[in-house]
Amino acid sequence: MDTELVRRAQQGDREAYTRLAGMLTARFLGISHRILRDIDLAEDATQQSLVTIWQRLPQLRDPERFEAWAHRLLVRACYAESQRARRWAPGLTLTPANEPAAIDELGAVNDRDELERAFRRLSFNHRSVVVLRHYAHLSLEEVATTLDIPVGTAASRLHYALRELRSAVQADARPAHQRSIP
Amino acid sequence: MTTDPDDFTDVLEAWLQEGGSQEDPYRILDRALARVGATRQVRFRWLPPAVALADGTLRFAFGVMAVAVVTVAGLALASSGQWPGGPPSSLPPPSTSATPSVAASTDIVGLPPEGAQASDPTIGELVLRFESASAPSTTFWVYADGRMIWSPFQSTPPGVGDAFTGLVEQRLTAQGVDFLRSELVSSGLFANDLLLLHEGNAPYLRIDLLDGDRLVGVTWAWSGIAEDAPVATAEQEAALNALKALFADTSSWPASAWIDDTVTAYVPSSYAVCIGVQAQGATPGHWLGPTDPELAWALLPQPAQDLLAAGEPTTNQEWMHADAGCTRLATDDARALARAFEAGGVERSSASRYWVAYTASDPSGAWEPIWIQFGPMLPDGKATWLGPG
Repeated sequence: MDTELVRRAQQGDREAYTRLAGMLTARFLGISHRILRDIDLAEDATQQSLVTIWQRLPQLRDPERFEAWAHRLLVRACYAESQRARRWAPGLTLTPANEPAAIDELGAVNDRDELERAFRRLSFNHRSVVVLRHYAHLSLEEVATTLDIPVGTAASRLHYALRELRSAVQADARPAHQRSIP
Repeated sequence: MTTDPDDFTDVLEAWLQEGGSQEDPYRILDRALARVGATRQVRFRWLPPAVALADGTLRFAFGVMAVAVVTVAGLALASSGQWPGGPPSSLPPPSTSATPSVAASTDIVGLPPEGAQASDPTIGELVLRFESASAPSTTFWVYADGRMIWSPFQSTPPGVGDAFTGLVEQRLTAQGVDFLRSELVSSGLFANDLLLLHEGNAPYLRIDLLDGDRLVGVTWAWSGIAEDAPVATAEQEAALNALKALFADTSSWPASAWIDDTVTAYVPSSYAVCIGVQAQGATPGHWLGPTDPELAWALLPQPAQDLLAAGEPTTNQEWMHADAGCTRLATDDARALARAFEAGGVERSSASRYWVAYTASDPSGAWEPIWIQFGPMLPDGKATWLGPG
């Protein structure tokens, strides 16, 4: 990210901020959509994080750290949205984020369904780590910096989350007579 | 489908890429820019105008409320006879460095009882740390002075007594510490920090060993955790399994390793009390990060605020954000703080013997509940957390 642009935006330059926001929005929407699994919540979280970035930019001490800082605000906005959704609609069942796609193997469809279900069962913290690592392709160190947690904690969360997801798919891969009936 | 880790990561990443056609970033950007056009930047670090007003109002309101709650609670308890000898003011002051106005009544479940002797010495140099998710999941901390502190994973070893709050200790001889160190060194794994992967589904393992003035860490995790790290060789895997076996059965260690293998409660001399807040919804200006603990304190009863203000700010803990609003308090002060919460109506979020956490709410609705967690300090000055999450 262009640190000069960040510095200008910190000084209140709206044009510089607009360029920064333009670079971030698609990525932010993608990340929040994957974490929250709901496009409406993701849009709200993205929009809120962009506004918060503008408001709090003067408080960012090191413009070099803008990207990690901005991602952190996004994850926090996602968390706030997830809590808001739970508070106002406790029985709400979020619709799947993925639209129907051309799937040529029944097995692949099953994988997607199992992944969707397993992912929704993960805690917010676990979802965030998985999305930042495997969707946003941040390194483990960058994930830790973004979430403001030790690298070991990020590694541990990722380990458990992936194990849960893989176990779910593994269970689905077993013959039907071996699966327990929910 | 195959669940080979590499294939699984591919499937996961392909699945995560789906759904993009629902996204319209330009629309969101337009909306955000429209809002930004009507929004001023916050130029002061922790007193944005909206919050400054709310903060002042809330401080006053909660000051009044705290006095009222403590007074009413005191009168109610005195009249019910739960405080023998009369209202709080007639009780001896708690043994704290700060001056909370909440008096001692009962012990707090999850904190050592009053009078419990703190582990001695209070400071120690960490020589190795062993964390395994293998059943029974546990962590060991071994210190140069011979103390081995460990968590029996939410079970209570027989005979540890009332001071047990989740951690225990045993005493190693210098030979015992050297024995463990040499076992680790001879594994050949600790020349440098190492992240090793395994292709199976073995539990997470992390071992740190002091080398000079730094800890060298070896992590062994499932391969989905990183793409570019090497898979453990058969030799490394055998060495890691041997180290797991070593800590899984401490009774197999030589008798000369122990000064005393009796398992006793580890009583921390202090706690890190960490506060986290989350903004409710999307109200601009009401988001407060954990670097602003004072604003969260304002929502707590006044005696609790006084205790927190008298503590020492710390970031040296294992489980919260690096810049979370953590305060180090002597164990007596941590107990007084918990009493202040309970007298002030702050809700305990669990009754567990192994961790202490409270949830305070913000009546203004600006914040989601505020979490306050008490993490025991270890002799190396780092706090840990035994609760969930």
